[in-house]
Amino acid sequence: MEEIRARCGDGTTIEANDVATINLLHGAPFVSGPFINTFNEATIDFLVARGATRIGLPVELSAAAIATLARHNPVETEALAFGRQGLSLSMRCYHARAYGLHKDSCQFVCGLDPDGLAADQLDGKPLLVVNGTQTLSHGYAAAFADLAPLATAGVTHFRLSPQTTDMVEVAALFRAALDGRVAPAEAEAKLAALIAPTPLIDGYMRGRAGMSFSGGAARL
Amino acid sequence: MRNINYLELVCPAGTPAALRTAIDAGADTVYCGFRDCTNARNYPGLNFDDQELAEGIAYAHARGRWVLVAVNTFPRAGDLGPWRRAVDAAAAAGADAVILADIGLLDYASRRHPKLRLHLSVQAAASNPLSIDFYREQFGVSRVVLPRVLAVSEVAALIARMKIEAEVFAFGSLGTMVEGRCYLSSYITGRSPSSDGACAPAEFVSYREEGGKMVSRLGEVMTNCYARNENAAYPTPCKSRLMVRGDASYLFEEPVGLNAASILAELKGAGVTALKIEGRQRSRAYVGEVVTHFRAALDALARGEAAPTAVSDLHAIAEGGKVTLSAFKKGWR
Repeated sequence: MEEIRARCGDGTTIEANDVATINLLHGAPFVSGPFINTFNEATIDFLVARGATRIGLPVELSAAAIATLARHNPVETEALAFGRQGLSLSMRCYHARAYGLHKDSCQFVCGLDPDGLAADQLDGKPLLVVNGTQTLSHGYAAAFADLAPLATAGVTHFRLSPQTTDMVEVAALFRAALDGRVAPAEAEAKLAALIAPTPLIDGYMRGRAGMSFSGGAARL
Repeated sequence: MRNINYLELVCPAGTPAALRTAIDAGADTVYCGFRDCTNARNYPGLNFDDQELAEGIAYAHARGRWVLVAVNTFPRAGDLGPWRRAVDAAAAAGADAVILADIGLLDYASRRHPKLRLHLSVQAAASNPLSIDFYREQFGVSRVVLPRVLAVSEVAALIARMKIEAEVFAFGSLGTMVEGRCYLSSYITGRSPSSDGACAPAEFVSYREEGGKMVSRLGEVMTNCYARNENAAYPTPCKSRLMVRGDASYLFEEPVGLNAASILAELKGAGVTALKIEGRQRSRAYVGEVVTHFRAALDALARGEAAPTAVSDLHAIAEGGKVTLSAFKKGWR
């Protein structure tokens, strides 16, 4: 907490993911992160009045909801474009628990699983991964189908969340798709080959179960 | 006037009948919601319309009790109307407070209804003094419902540093994730606890006999597989049995319910104002039984006597048929 307090005063751009941090900032500019529950225009208006210069939206929102909020938002809007989707946080560390350790003496055991620890269904089908106190999707979100429409609606930033894959190549694919140098479906096919056997998912963007996949940009 | 004995007992009312049952059994306060997506127990057959709320409030006020209205989901983009209507209707009906979580809705309620008492829902997951100060300073929140993730010593330390009332969960189902920021159910079903107000909706739940075992599913996802001698619990995602490092385990939490009956004096000592009983989705019989037990315990403690032991015997109606002190005891993390 003391480090956050110090950082809030030294000119560093802070991404606040809890209102405690917004409180510490005393009206100074900040980025509102995806774990601030920003589901609607009224919340955006409040955060912008408090100094938010960018609104990072929760991963649960559909492309339609993101577009609605981006059109309303007078400052920058950010959405997740690639990576495992953070689904929940806990005060309890499931990574430590899975290794028979306690959070307060965890030996940083999460470092053994840099891409997360698999938590599968009992029949062996993949479902989730845990990374410390966070639980994430098994599949990687990849929003190639939504880049152009969301950019048009006013989304200014797309976040790539790092996974244990060639992130330079991932970034190049998204850059090329955003610049119109590669068709979304082609970039998506290259990405799918790069990350196999981990599947792509896009359910939240489509307003469906987050773990589902609609066919992505290939269905366009 | 209200006469609070020891700790305020805040009880669930999923229906008008449950509201009267809770009041008759000794609830100081009941909480309820409207019959739509504006509250976090948006299940079929539950909740109140405007007239039922007005009648429930009249019943409670005639007996010196309070009614709180939960408008504790997060309004959807482009669709603020139902949530603002719910706050307006609660105020018009004479609710003693509204329980809110969304920043935009708190902002609306504090400006539109400056005299309406605001409680911060557990869905806002405010568990540190800075966050709680933020909601108090920005919106005039009078009470925070603390997340079910703190040890009693942490509750005490937190209350010592905050300037508003604290309400803690004493009995009922447990969420093990930071509440209001858990998407496990929508990841599996597409229905959002945050905005639709339903975690693990019943229409996605199935139990099927497979190979001599009982398999529970939420949507397509296998959440558990039970041997014949095991009780099958409700397939809430955070109570799933999962394969982790080659073992089948309850990675997040076992299907158990919270029962803080044995530590009521400690909670009082920690500075807690109110005890919350979870379970608006549960039966009127559940409400009657739990409220009766806790009323007797609080009255005994107020007289300086030990709480009756019967209050520890609510296992049968707890989630999964088992109870725990959960995060209240150290070592849970």
